Amino acid sequence: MLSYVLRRLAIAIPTLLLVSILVFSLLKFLPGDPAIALAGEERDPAVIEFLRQKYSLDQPLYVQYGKWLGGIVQGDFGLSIRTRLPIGEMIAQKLPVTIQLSVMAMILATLIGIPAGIIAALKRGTAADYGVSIIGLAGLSVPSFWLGIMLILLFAVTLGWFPSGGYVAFFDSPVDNLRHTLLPSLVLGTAAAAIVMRHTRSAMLQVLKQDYVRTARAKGLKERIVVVRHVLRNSLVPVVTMSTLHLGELLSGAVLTEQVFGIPGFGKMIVDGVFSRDYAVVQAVVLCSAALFLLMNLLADIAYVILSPRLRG
Amino acid sequence: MGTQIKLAMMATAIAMTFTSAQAANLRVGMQDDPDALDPATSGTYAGRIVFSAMCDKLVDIDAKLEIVPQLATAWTWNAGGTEVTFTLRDGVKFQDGTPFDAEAVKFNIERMKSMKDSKRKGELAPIDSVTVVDATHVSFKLKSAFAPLLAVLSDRAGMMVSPTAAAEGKEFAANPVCAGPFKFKERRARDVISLEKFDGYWNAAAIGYDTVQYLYIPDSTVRLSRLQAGDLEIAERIAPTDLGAVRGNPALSLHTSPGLAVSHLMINVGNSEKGGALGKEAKLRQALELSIDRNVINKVAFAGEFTADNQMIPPSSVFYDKSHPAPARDIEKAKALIAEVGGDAPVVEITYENSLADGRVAQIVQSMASEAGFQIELVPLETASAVERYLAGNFQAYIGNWSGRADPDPTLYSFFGKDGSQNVNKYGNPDMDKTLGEARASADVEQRKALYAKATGIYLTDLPTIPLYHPNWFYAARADIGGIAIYPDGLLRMTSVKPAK
Amino acid sequence: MNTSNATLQLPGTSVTKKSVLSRCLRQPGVMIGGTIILLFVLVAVAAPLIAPYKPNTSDWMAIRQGPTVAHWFGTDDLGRDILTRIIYGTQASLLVGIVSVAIAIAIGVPLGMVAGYFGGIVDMVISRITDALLACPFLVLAIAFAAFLGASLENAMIAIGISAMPIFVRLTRGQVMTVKAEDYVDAARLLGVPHRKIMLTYILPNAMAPIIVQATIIMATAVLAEASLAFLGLGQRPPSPSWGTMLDVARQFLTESPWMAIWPGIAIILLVMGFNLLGDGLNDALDPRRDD
Repeated sequence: MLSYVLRRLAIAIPTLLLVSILVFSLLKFLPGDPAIALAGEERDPAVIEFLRQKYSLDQPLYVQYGKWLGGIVQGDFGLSIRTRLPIGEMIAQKLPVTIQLSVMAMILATLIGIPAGIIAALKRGTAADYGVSIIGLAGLSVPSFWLGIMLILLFAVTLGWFPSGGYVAFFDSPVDNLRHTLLPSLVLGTAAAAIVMRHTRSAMLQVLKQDYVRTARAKGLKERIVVVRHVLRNSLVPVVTMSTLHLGELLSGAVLTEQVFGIPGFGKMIVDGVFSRDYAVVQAVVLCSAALFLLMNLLADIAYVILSPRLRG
Repeated sequence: MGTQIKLAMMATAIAMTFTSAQAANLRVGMQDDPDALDPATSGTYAGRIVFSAMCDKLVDIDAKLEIVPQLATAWTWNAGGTEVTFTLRDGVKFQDGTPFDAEAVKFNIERMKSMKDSKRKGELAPIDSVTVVDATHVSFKLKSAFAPLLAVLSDRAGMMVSPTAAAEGKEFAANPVCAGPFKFKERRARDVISLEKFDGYWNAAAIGYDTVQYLYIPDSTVRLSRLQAGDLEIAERIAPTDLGAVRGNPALSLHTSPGLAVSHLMINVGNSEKGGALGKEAKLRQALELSIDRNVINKVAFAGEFTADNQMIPPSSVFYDKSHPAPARDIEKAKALIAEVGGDAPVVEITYENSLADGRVAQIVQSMASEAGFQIELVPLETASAVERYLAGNFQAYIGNWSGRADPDPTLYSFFGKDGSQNVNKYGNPDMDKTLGEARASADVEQRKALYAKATGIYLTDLPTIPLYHPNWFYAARADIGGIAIYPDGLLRMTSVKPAK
Repeated sequence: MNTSNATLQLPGTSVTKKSVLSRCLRQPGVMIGGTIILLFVLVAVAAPLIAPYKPNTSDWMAIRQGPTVAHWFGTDDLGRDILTRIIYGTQASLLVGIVSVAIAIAIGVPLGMVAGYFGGIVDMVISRITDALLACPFLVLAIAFAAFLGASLENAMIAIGISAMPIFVRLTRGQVMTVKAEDYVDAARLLGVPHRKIMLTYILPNAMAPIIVQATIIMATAVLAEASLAFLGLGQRPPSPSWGTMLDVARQFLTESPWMAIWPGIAIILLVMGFNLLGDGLNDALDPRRDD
């Protein structure tokens, strides 16, 4: 086990390196010189030249990359070109926000998806099954920013139950924090809920066909005990591993959700960075999310390995 | 003994809740996030809003755009208008305790003139040298007579930062220190900027809040709804289409002012390859102007709340030229002018930043101008690409947004002067240069008015750009906030703002 | 023995083609999803015939009107008929869905095939790069590419296509490696059949099923991605209608004119559901492990 994990971590490093090179090259080919963008309304060639020098934008690409990489290795993500604030600090402020949204989204997805999947599997072929499946499909097909807009329209504008955007840190006010994060988490979790529901349903269907279930039924055990003790426990394994994988994908969804609800999170940081040509920000953020993604994959695989042998019995 | 301690603790607790209940916090919703918070390098409008609470300037403007004292209490010009001596306010300290004196003023001006990435060099170029007369008197020697100097010093170029904080090697923007009513507390990028009351402010009695927070909320609808919900006390730049909601809500009050800004369609007259027929032929530009109806643009895109106009300077300015009213829409005349020029149907490519406002304006212009025979193509770009093309002169037509200045010189000279910083379409007219040069050298208001009227006539004939409208400023605030006065520059001045109880 | 013409009767190629098709058609998902998509295609093609107005004609007097007899879905902020713009917007969405997936397949499948078939260093290089691309959030890649290329419909298609490409590389590679292990492929190699022929005639047809399924699902993702890019300002150039841009504008008028936001969203949901249903149905039909 340990050697497996170490091997995976070892492979992750060149992958991350590759990610950073890819992102770096992509950004460098983006039109829109940040030095010019920084120069703003006034246009003074001396200023632009100085800014280029200050941010090493006039150096050959490999030198720029080398400098950046050197900083990263020492834990220094550099300064945001636009605001001169340390990027590490920005990440420390914004990543927890997105993580909170993602975790809440996964919790909601599990709370909704698993029972729905169970119902669909147990009542297979009936109207309940089709109903749940169609709703699940709709959940996958809905554009998250539209869902966000609709929820804002209903719950914030019309009913006034929730704020229409913004974020309050948990430590500032737990109640306000939940009020601001509930709708976005709901939006973020919708697609995930649909996926969890489908996985649960198909996993349960697989398990329900198994011999030991028939045996348990034949033994006369109450249906509920059969479901909970045998079927559920064994179906949850693939669901858990799949869910951990999708946690990594939530970042794409977070980009849109944070935009709609105006939440200062990680996803919004990427979009802002791309639009303001703040190279340093985008590089740092993509590297972090890639690292998180690989970490999530690793955890999912480990979870699978740990949970699987226990299946027999 | 125990009871005494308990009573003491209770008293302290009550006192603490009492004081914390008194700690008044003002939350302002902003449309943009400022760039680096250093008056020397800052280029964003949002930065100016934060500075108006944090950094005092030598002079300020009032509602009529007249110059009033702030850190300087009086000023005298010499006979030729080439030297001005300021009397500085006594007993002023920077937020870190450094005393404010003539040496500090000299330090600041020289810093802004010499700092490598200073954006104030152009504005301060007319200043030749700064001399310390004594602790409270400083004198500026100019290269030649320059009437707009005081107006320049009423903005970022006149903001004084603490010499201690701006010393060599320090990253000033991460921890700015000035001499305004509020001092910097913390900043979370693209989220919130927090300031707290500076007790040592020379006008501390006028400060109405203990803390101010500027929250970055780019969506104007969300800004308004959070204001309505009580999450904010003030929201700036309310969308014109939302004003009905503000007016109809008794819990909110609307604060407006005509603005200095102008939105204009700049034509690339200087580059024949990029400008095409439109750039070459003044008649085509006139035809374009005649094919659009500025009032329709104002009504459709901005619910009629802005000011449709054909000039770069707003009607509220004393230098506005009333003798050149905006022409009404005349499709037939436009078609005739196009026919006079001859050739194929003129193609116009309009480049612009992909904002909702500019997008709407562009589509309206396209729709209207096509009736006269123009073939308009729209090229929306996200900000960085758009700004790059603009500065490089890489466009045929560009929707520009200029935030405006208190004095007409920075606007007209930047756009129409031979080496103006905004003259990206390389417009050149020696008559214009001469007129503008005379206008900036004269201190006589009537004479300047006549000269600027002449300049306006010149650019309205040449049409290097077609001004479309002047945005007006709309701030919405909770009705129980008092002392909000918005001037034509649209900045929220914090000193007079206090809870109206 | 004429080796260049040697073909082996592979287990179940021509025989099952017909039964595969009928299995597909019997799947309710395929039928319903396919019908939905077909309907949208019809709308897109017949747009000029069925739309009540022109998509870019403004009625300055009818700004942001609610649904009326004259305008069933109401008008937008520039006085244009929303129903018409939704109908014309179908063209953009369908185009993006199909073309971007075509791009992703055109680049991804050959790469995956080469990686899976030849193995070794080629595989390692391609796989590492694919892994790196897959580690970046899909939408972020699309945004970065779209910003790089500039906002337009064509560039959005390219951006989404390139971002989706790694998925097909990995999928194809996995499929190819499975099929490569089969005996008949070994036999073909022994007979001296050239690599290219093996890949095209033996391996590819047997690997196609999951690729087709994935293609339909990615089409759904592509339509959503285009709407998202348009929402962020990176989509089709105005004034051409696009469901995503319509939603971006609608957001500003949520309180006064909520109907502007509802219709484009519903259109997107229906089209994407169509693709998802189709994909699900194809998956069920083509999955050899089904014992339903």
